[in-house]
Amino acid sequence: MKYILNKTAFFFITLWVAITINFILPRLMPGNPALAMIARYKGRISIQALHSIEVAFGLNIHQSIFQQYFSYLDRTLTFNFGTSLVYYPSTVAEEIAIHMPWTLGLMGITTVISFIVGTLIGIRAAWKRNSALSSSSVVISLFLNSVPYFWIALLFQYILGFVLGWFPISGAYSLIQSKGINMIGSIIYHAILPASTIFITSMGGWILTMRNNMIDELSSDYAIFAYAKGLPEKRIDYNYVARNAILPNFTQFAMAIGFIVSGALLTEMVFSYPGIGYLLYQAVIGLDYPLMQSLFFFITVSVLVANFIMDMLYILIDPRVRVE
Amino acid sequence: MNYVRMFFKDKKILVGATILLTMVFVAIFARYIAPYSPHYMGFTPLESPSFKHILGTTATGQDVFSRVIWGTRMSLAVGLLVGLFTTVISVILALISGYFGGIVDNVISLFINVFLVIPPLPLMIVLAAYMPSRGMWTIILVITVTGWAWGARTLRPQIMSLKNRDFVKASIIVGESSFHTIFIDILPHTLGLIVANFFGTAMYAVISEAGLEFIGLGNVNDISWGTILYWAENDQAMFFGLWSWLLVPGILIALLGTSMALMNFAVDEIINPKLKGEKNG
Amino acid sequence: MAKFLQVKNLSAGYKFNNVTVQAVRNVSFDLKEGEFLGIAGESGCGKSTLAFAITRTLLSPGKIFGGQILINGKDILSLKEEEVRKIRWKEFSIVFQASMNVLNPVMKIKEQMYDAIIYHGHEYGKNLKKRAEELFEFVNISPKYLDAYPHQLSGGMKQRVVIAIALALNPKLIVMDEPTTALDVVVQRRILQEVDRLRKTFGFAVIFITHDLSLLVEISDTLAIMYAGEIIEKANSREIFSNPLHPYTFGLMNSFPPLMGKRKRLHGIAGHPPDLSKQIKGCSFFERCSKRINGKCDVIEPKLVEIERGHFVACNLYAKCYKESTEYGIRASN
Repeated sequence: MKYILNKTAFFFITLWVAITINFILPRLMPGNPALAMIARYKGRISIQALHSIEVAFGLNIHQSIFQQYFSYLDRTLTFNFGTSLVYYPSTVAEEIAIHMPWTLGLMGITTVISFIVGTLIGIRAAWKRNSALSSSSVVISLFLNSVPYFWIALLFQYILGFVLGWFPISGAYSLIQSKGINMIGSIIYHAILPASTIFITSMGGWILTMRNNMIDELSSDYAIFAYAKGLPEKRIDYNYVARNAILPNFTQFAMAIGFIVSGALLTEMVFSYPGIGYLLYQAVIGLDYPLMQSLFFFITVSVLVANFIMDMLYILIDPRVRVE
Repeated sequence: MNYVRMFFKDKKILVGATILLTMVFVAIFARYIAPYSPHYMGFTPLESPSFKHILGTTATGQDVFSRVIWGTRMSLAVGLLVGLFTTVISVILALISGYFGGIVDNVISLFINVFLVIPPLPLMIVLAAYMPSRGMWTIILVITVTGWAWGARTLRPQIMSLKNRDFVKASIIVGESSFHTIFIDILPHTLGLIVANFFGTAMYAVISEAGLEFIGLGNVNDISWGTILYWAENDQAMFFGLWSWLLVPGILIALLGTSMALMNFAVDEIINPKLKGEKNG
Repeated sequence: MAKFLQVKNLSAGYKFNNVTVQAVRNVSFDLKEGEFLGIAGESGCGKSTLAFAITRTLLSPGKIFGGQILINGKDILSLKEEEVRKIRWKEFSIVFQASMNVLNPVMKIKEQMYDAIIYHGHEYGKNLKKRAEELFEFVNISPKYLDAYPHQLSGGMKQRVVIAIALALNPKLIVMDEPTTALDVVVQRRILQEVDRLRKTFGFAVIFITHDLSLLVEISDTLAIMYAGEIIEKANSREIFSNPLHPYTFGLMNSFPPLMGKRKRLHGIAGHPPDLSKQIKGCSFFERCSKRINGKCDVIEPKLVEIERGHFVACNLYAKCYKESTEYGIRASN
């Protein structure tokens, strides 16, 4: 089907762009990137680290730039990212593998829940346009949208964690309770603050867009026809209007998830939650370019995959993209 | 135009504009409003808020309040400049793409979509990390690269639908140059959306700048609300209970962001009156 | 035959940003059971607003300013929303203009047919399918399209589907607002004939609104001409065709080139309709009327009165007749 082909092609094109950005950037710096790297580290760099940089950048003075490019492509797609500088001697791939599950768990679950709840609130807010729920949800959502994610994280961390001591300030689990049920409980306990941060900040966006979409759809011809048919309000709201209003949420998901991921990364940094965000932060501080670039690639891939899943789900809810 | 009158009657605009103008005022007259120099490090460090130091002092003995006042400059500047640059880029690309259609449109659309999907923060981090120098202009550049796509994406469909309107078709048939049709016929009708996009992107820029500074990708010796937060985090403000140092800059960022969001929202409502609350007849 | 629908002094329009548009001005007319009433007029004369008002589907910023709409003696304007909802589709149904977008794009056609029936308490269960197939047969569509989605149907078919849905509960009145405008002429005619056939079979009344007079002349029983929110002439359709009294109607009739006979120069009607957001003094057609009486037509607003039997006109030219007829005791329509 044309739709699937389009989305798949887009997936690979964007992937290619990300890889190419990674390839080009170090070469934009004047001189040999590896040498520039050494300069940054002020000479304190081991042979292995140097080699790792070369791998990360796809540098090979024995090859032309095109050959370098293709072998770089090849290596990236086989997840051969080189060795991390900060986490030496671990490879980048290993570090990503260790930290990824935390982010997936935290962000994955939170995003799904906030999408569902935000959408439902948006539906209610649209129908009762003049009510307190509607105006207050608009103002609150607007404010939440303007607040930097990491600041809410700081706020929660300070008030609920430090001052009140209700929740842990950092980490994914308590080092003391590392076994069995206790560990699970500890994990959940530690996840509450960061998850709430992500949840609250991202929900605002869903509420606003859903409300706007609903308002557009409420005045559409088919909604008026449903009203003329004498259908009860609830049926019109949900089966007619909401079913159509939710479609743009799926198509806009691509953009939305980019922002949510960014926010989640910052939240992890604040809470020292050992996920990808934390890893990225360490890479920035330690100027670990191989790690940084690989994380950029990896995060982009994850976003693309999530987006692709949503695109495929879209086929289920909008019959117009299905071809006989 | 009726729009101007509607613009000023709307409460949201008044609130948003007031906040924004106040901040502009503070930024311009920072020298006179701040009680001390923001760089001076001679005060007792890590003091809680007091009459002498309304927001307390930093770990290196600087007055937080003065730093916050001076920080308004950079936070505002980045927001507005990024808004400006992204608006120019997105308008040009959207106009070309929407007007000429065909392959040009396909290529530019693809370009727009790719930049929309790539998550902004990781890209900004990688870009900023490679920049030879760190500072305000690096940050502006980096945010602009990730921020222009949204404006282009919302503008393009409007331009495409305008192109099909009769008065534009008439202009083309009469033989006006493309330049004339694009800039004199189509562009004025998109101004509302362009203004809304400007505010939306400026808001995004303010928040992004704060985030980048917070991580330490700007020049940490600059003074902006983001760098103040950077030092607060790095110098363990939380553990010293210095809530004013830690939290106030964030509130200001949120206020600035909200003011822009309000203006954005209000312009949206004027363009699309259905969004206002109305009872069914 | 009994009077099924009585519209009395209906005024409706739109209110937004301190502007009030009077799209329907003091309109009154009656409709008998099974009668086919055609309402014709140019764009912007208020006929769609009238259709929405009669079926109480006039939504914000639209408002009904006053008047009564009596269906079998009961004023539906006085009913509460929920009470109206119960009689919707059972007493009257409406087929909209641009039926392209009237069907929910993400729902199967059969769902949209079924729910009209289910939510009015007529749960037929398995019979739902039978009923749907039956309705489709009436409008000549294969029942296999019940499982289709709206985007898989052509314009003409969608229109037929909408008509089928409109028939679902055997309403006594179907209001059709320019249902064929977006279709090609051949399909237009066919659909109109089907509607007429259905009407003769089931006995429902039709109010058919259009800007295309030629469609209506043969099939309507009665024709009403609307101008600037008012009905300015109403009569048996043959009567209007052969003996148009109002200058506007006369102008309309003479805008159609006849198929046969001598070649004639056609005259349009110069000018354009008045701005409905402003008050209109005197006759609304004054500016464009070739027979206007200065000093009278710009001051006195003509009322819709019965000049000859069953033929109503709102025109000062016939004011003398009116005076005469009241003298002789012939009833005026209002």
